[in-house]
Amino acid sequence: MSKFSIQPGAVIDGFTIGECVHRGGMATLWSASRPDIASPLLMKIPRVSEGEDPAAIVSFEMEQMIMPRLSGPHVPFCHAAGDFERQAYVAIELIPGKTLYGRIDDLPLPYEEMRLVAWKIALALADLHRQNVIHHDIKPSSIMFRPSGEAVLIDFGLSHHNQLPDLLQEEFRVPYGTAPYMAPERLLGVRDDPRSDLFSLGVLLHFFTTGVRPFGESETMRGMRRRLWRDPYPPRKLRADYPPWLQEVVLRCLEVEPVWRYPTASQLRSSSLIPTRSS
Amino acid sequence: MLLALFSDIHANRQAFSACLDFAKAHGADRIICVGDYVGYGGDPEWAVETVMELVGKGALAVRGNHDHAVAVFSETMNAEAQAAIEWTRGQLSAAQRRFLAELPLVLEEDDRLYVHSEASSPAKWRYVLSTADAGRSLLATDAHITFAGHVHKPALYSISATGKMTSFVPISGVTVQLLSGRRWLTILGSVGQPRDGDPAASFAIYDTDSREITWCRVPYDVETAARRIRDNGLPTWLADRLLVGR
Repeated sequence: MSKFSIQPGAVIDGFTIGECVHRGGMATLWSASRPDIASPLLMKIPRVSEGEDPAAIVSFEMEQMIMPRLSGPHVPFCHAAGDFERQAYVAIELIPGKTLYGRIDDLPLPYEEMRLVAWKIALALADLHRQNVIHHDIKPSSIMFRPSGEAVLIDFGLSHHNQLPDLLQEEFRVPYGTAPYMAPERLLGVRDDPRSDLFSLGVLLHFFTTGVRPFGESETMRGMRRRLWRDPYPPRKLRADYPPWLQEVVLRCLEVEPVWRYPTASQLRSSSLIPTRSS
Repeated sequence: MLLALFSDIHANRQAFSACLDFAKAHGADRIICVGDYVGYGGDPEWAVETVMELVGKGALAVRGNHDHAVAVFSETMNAEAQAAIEWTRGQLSAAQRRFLAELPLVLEEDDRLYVHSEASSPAKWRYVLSTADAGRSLLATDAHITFAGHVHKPALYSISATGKMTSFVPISGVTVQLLSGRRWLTILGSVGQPRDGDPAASFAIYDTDSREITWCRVPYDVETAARRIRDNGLPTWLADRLLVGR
């Protein structure tokens, strides 16, 4: 367990800690540097002191196992991971800029712009799923973009790797995730279906093009379970000019049964989201 | 240091030879054997001789229930296993039987515990088939990792600092880090008689520095191992099951 509190200037495994850039519910984020790494780094350190949610530890263990195995442009590069025995951390590439959550005041976004955004997220999901990982917390604050345009998925603390022990599945009976974005099957304890991420992308797409979350913001189990039997309002009910093709994409992602959704993120991307020449 | 961990060799010369070669090729520094060198298979003399040599060179070995039954005369098993035990006993020299009888039931080394069945009551030869069974073993030891066999199917259990259990069926060739924040019970699978539907011999390599374990599956000459069982007049099912890994 963490034996000391982190201060700017502290050195952990050769990484020098800079400023605290974010304090989240499960972890704190610090800028960091190491002489042999030219690019700026981010150090993620779990909250493990007395009284914190035990899920913070388990979710960090998942991140510790999963992040070093991921590669490619759609995830932050993981430079090192430290164990709970001394100081738990992951040292990852700092992705500059803000998450997609930064656009929340601009909603609804133009349809063509969101088509391109969804296309990029679907590409990132396809790459993640190919690496045996389901993200399980796709939402605006988990998505960033590289200066070169690729979507980058961050925060793997709730993720599932289909070749590694799923400590969250085994240890906790309640589903961990972000209520408005959680796929219905998650409420029934299913954590091994990649199409859960397509549902979350559907929620995001619905929200960003209508300004309304399709299943509200309820965080109670009772409130969340409604999505098991109640259809969302079709986007065209909310906005008369909503393009029929985009409504089809959104509603297919939001199907209750995973089998009625797109089979894969690649199929969603290539069959329905190919950017037009003008976008 | 890289440990090569073997369990349930069961007198299968072809399987154990293939696993030893594989471990050597992958740079294993130290050999750990967690029991059941004999029983079922057609080459018990070779198996015990090989384990004796390995122990002579610094390997660690504990006693399994089949080793115990052969050496101590007290165990009773199902008819096929019992037939193999009685035949095996006649194959081994007094020195080999004594070697088996004198093997410890449990060995501890650094933060690791080696036992054939499980840690709560090693002489009762209980099977770990569920998280409840695994929990009983994990609560009986302070070791960070317990390495066991006996079940013939690879498995991985853990207990968290808050007492929550997890279970997992490992995938061969995929490395799992045994995180230091929880304690682990690893079931190695069987070298000489796998029962998880994959006939390939099963063992594991553990890196004590990175705390990473990898289950390895090694194809071997199953036909010869099966023929050795038939040629020695042992129950034919003991030969047939090697071909299907059941």
